[in-house]
Amino acid sequence: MKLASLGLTNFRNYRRLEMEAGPGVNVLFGRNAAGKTNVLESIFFLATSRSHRTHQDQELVLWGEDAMAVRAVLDSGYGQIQAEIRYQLDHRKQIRLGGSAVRITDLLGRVPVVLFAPDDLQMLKGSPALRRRYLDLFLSQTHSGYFNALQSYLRVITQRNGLLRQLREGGGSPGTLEVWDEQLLDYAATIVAHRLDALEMIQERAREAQAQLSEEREHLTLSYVFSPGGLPEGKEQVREALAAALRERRREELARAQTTVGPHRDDLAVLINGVEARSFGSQGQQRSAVLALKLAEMSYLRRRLGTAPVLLLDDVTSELDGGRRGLLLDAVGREAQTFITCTTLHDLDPRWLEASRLYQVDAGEVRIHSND
Amino acid sequence: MYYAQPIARLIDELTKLPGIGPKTAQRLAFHLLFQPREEVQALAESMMVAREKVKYCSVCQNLTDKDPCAICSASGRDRSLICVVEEPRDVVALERTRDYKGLYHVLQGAISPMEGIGPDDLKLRELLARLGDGQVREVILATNPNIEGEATAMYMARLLKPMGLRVTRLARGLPVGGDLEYADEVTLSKALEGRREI
Repeated sequence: MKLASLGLTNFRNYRRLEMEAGPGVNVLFGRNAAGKTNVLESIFFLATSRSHRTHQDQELVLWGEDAMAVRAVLDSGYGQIQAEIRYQLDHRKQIRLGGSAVRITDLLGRVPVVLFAPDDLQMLKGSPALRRRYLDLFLSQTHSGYFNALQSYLRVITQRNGLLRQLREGGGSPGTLEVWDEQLLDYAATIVAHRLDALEMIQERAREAQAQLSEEREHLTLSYVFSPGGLPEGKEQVREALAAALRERRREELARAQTTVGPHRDDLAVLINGVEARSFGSQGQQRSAVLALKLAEMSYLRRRLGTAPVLLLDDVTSELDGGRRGLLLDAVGREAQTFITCTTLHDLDPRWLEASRLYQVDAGEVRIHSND
Repeated sequence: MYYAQPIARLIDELTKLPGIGPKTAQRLAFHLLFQPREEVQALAESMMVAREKVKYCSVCQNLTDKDPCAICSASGRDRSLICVVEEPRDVVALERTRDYKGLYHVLQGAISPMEGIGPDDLKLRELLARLGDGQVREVILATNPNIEGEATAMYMARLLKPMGLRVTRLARGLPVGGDLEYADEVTLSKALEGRREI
């Protein structure tokens, strides 16, 4: 899947943008704050219906306007179709494929994306939420059932926490806690099962990449941290273990008015040679591990969807040195469509510049730059 | 002030209706101004009459102008069967099928802690009162297939099953006239779960 063209209306600092995209590497260069990252963000938004930089969709609308739109012509190799997301302040996002209104799940996975951003290292060092997001993002792109289960699960958690709050304050109906728990357990078991399947699939590729980057000295392991502790085999056992944990924590949860166990509290542990990379790994090991995870994500998407994902590389060339840059270049190959941002072309590895399309970005305008 | 005071007042009142913004309200107001007097009077009167006459049926809690309502007092309906729904409009939807011959019970909502709605805020006590005389043998739970409707159905099932009643839930699955390959994963797995021998 490739983007043949991209169109923006009132998106961030772009009042209007129409750009053709090359099937290979597309380099966007220009001063800081010119709007390079906004272009990558718009592609990410079209692919996932979310921004990677904010939860507040209104921040995506050009200042002073009340609606924005992102459009792209998608080329599957067999044919083309136009995809569009429109967003008006205080309204739901409207998604269109080939001109007809569709649901979010119909768009997810149409434009598989993998994003490399300067703060990716946070994925290892930061909060568990960032690692869950890593899993949720590619699973939502490959399994509409996962996306639906996750949305329903999060809504159950909101309702359940609301009930816990009422119960703490002496109101509410204690008998209804169980009916929320039933649904929580069903969705939770589905979510955990999907995450475990995916981890097993990405494990191998991630391990291979880490070994390659360290001349076989570093052995990477990914393991799922189930919030109730331990990790039972099988979906039914996961459900039971979580049910037991909920019973055990009932008193604590009532006091805190919070659901303290479940997939929304699980984590992904990244181990190098058996120890946690986030606390014991060197900076270099951590950078390699993040790259290994991203490469694994790419090959997972390619395998599940049968098409190379679009790569969005946001100002990462300075982050990646020697071996890591080489490995990324190899992985990108000639197959995947890639969008790269950088401030000057000198920062870029010469290999990126071969057969690339160059775009100069300045104050909300993107111009094709001749390649010589 | 752009409008004469009576027009401004009419626009204000119309804006209070659901789904009506200032622009639509203005359009409706001007439309009404140029209608024959009798038309406008008929509209105003129908609103007043509906507001005055319509109340909740003391049996099924559906909206009605006479008590008990037309469905509850009809002679040809199966009194051993009660279908429990969230809203009056759900009764309309089921009646449109012409396949259902039993009675209804309207809960007037679904359990939703975030909106402050618990079981005591639903018309459950009224339902239990109807089950006391032993005439009813089956209760069909037809709340919406979302998490609030599901929670409400589960809560009711726990309440009703010990009473020795047959408690059923509407099937979830594939829409008629659709294509299997376009069904989403959740619907498809629900349909698989609820498969039937033919």
